[in-house]
Amino acid sequence: MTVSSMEQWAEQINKDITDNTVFVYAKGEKNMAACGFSHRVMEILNRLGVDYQVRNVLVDPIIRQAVSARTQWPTIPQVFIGGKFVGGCDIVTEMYESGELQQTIDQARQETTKA
Amino acid sequence: MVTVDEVRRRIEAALPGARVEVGTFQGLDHFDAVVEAPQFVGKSRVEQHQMVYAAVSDLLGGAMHALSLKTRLPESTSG
Repeated sequence: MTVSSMEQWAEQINKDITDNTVFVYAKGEKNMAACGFSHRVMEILNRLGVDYQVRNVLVDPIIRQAVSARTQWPTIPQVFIGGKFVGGCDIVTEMYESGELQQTIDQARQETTKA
Repeated sequence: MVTVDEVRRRIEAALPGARVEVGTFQGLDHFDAVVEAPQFVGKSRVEQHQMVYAAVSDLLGGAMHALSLKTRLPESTSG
């Protein structure tokens, strides 16, 4: 797959977040984060034992530009659940601590099974 | 280099009436902030963080590697 322009990445991002209930744009690969914040988000998802996919934004600077253009969110990681942007490391940590993260994922899963 | 004071002033200017605490961790380019602002009322958590990020957007990725955020509603409106 060769994806190189902003538009192509915007399309790929659409696909990433609709094909996967939980999707993370991170610095580094799954379980090999290159940044403490990306590491924390993956650690939380691992602790919940949920299925998730990761795209490493360090592979091509355009990925980060395309994700941030979509979400109006300047930093990485960025987490999507059920196709919706839920936030970065701070929000995901808060949601994990309150139990809301598991709830949001469960809800998104139910909706995909119904569809 | 960006100072804790500058970050605090920027956020206070963008969100008048906000209570802002700023610190650093893991070295001087990682900032964390707790922001309590009346402008957060009725906004989602993502929108609240976006409002704070907007105040320092030109610094992020440059002199500021990260801004870890906690946003809160003023106490008089959250209870």
